[in-house]
Amino acid sequence: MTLSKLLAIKNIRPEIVAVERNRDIVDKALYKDTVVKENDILEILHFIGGG
Amino acid sequence: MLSKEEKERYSRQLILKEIGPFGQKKLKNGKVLVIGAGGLGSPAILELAAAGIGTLGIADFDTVELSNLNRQFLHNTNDIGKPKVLSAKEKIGLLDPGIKVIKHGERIEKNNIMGIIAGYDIVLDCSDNFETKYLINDTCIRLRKTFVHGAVSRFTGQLFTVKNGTGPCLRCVFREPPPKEVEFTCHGMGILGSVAAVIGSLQATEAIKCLLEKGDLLTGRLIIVEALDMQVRTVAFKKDPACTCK
Repeated sequence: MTLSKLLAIKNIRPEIVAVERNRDIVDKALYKDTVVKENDILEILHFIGGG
Repeated sequence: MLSKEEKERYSRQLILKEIGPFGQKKLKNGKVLVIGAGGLGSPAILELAAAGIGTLGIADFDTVELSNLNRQFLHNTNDIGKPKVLSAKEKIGLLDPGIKVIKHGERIEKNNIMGIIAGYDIVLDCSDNFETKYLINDTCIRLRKTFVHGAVSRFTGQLFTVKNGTGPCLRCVFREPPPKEVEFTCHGMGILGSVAAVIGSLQATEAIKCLLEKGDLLTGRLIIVEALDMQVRTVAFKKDPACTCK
C-alpha cells in the first residue's frame, strides 16, 4: 500500500501532517510512490502550536 | 576586551574552547529577538541573558496571568497584570544590568513583523499560535534570517533551525496550518512547564551556537521530545520542492 492510500484510508489530510518513516520525514511529493513495507516504522506528526 | 567583571561572570564558559574571550565578544555583539515571553521564552530569555547576549529583543503583547505561572518562570506572582515585556526587562536587569533589552509590546502581525525582525541576527520562535509561527517562518525566509522554531503541547515538544532563511523550513514539514478547531495550544491542550523549558533551552542553545559559529545547527533535522514515555528522537527532513522557500 502507498502512503497516499494509507492517509486516505485513515482520513488524514496530507497538508497538515508530516509522515515520519524510519526516522526520515517522507517528501510530500513522494507519498503516492512510497510503498509502505512490512517492518517500516511510521509516525504521523501533527503540527503543535503551543509556546 | 572583556572587563574584569565580565571575565568573572562568564568564567565558566570562557574556559570552553568554543567560546573563550573571542566567542564571548561575539555573544556580546549578538542581537537576538525572542518572540513570545511565555513557556518557551522564559527559559530562552534567561539563558540568553545569562550567556551574555548583548542585545535582546522581547516581543509579546500579553500581560502576566496567574495561569501562566506553572511554566513561565520569567514572571512571578508580583507581576500579575504587568506587560510581559516589562516583566522580562526587569528580570534581565536583575540578572545582568549590562544587557540591552528592546521591548516590542505590540502584537506581531503581517504589517509590522518585517520592521521588528530586520534589526536582529537571530529570531527565536517562542510564540504560542499557528498563525504567528507561519508568519515568522515566511518572514524569516523572505529576509534570509536565521530562526529557531519551537513548539510544545501537553508532554511533547519540537524544534528545528532554519539558517539564513534557507530551507528546509516549517512549510516543508507542515505545508499549511491545521484548521483552527484543532489548534494544539497550551490554552486548549495543556502543557507541562518542564517540557516547555527543555525546548526553550535548546532554542537558546541554537542561538548561542549560531552566534559563535560553532558546532552543527539543527537544520534539516527536527528534534521531537515525547516526555511522557521519555523518548527523544531526531528526524531528518528535506526541502519540499513544491515549497516557496529557497
